[in-house]
Amino acid sequence: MNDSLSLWNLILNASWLAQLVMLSLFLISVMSWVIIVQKWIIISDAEKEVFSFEKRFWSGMDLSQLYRDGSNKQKNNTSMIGMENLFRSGFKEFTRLRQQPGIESVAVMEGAGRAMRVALAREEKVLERHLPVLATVASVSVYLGLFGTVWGIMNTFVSLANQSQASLAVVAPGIADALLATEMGLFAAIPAAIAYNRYAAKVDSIIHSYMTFTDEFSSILHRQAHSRRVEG
Amino acid sequence: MKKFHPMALLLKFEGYPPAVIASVTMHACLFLFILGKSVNSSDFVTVEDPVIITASAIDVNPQRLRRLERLEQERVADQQQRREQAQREERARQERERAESAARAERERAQQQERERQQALEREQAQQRQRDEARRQEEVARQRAAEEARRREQERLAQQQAEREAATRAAQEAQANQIASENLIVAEYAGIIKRIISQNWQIPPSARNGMMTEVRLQLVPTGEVVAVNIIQSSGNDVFDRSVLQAVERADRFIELQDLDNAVFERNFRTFTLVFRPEDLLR
Repeated sequence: MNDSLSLWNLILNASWLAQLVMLSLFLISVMSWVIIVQKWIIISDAEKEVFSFEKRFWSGMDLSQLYRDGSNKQKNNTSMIGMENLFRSGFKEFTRLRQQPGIESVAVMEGAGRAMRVALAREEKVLERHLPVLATVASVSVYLGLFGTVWGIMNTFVSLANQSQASLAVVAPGIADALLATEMGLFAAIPAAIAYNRYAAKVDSIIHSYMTFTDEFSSILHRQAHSRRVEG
Repeated sequence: MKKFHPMALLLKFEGYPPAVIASVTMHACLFLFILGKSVNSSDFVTVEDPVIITASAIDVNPQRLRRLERLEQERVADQQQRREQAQREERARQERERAESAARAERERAQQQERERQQALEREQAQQRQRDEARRQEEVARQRAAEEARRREQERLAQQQAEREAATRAAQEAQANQIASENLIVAEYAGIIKRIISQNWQIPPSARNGMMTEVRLQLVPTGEVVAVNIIQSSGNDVFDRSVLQAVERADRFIELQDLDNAVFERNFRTFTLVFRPEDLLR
């Protein structure tokens, strides 16, 4: 260790508070990256699912067939997400209500709509989970880094006051230490800010397509319910 | 219908395991990078520490031995030096003594010479004194004579001064007499002039006691009035005008022709008169 200015040495030589700040920033960075990757997996999966399910739904396939396919998938322990969930909860409620005698078609439609709204809320929750954490990391970690920097610079100047002979060599390591804290804060904040903005926009668009699908599916069910009523 | 889904593995447990693995791996890489990266000192401007030399006595054995050896050598050299020094001093002392005796003889000789010189000097001085004495007496005699002469001169001067003073006193007295007589003459003629004017003066009814008009007359030696001005008005126009009319009516004062020319020039060329109504009413 003949290099007195390696980054590692800087970290080791920093004051305990600066070290604490750096450690917490490091942990925050790890956490925010976990969320970033996890959200990325979830959201890209949901996007793909929207695309593939809409394709299947509008392929003219019988709806009960589609429902049965889903049930098979569930039996295979494949997770059920997104638009298919909406479809399944709506369709299940619809058929269930239809089979009971003496219920009016308006009530059937209402039940199916309610079931889909619940499913939509659940999907929304899954998609939006942890996004606020990213926003918080983006805004706070900068301040935390700044705090460490200010503390470090303050310490440097305090030690400078005790020196009879103030030279750059006395000041420089302390300030470098201090700046390291800001650097780490920015390192944590920048990806978090970018990811938050990107994911918020994506989640919005996905939920929008869910709502559109819900309306379309409702209208299909509505048509079916009334035609049956007329038949019967 | 069963199809392998590439996302299936990732999507287990909501995608958390791969996310954690990715994040931790990334940070571990970063950490290793920091740990491995030693910042070359050439990357930075090298700042030299200020040179602070602290002098401290360190008791290290070889040094100390060397120092002792050196001390011993120094001591031997010192003794040698001291012996040489003593010899040198002895030689120097003898030398000094010789020099001193020589110097003493020299001094005595010098003193002898000095004494002789002194005696000669004294003799000379005595002669000098005698000469001085003679000269002094001569000088005193001369001074006395000069003093006598001066005293006589002073007496003469004092006498002349006294005579001059007497003369001036007499002249002053004469002048004073003359002035007194002139004043008398002036008063007389002023009275004449005033009387003549008063005779021609018709005092207006509005005149009151306490009024006063001062006029300046300009006269010529024949006694004619050349000009008349009011210097100080009484405040009453009618009264002032009456005074002016009186002067105009008087016209000339023939009596002034008798007056000495010099006296006239001194007193009557411009002549100031004061008119009060009381002067006439009384």
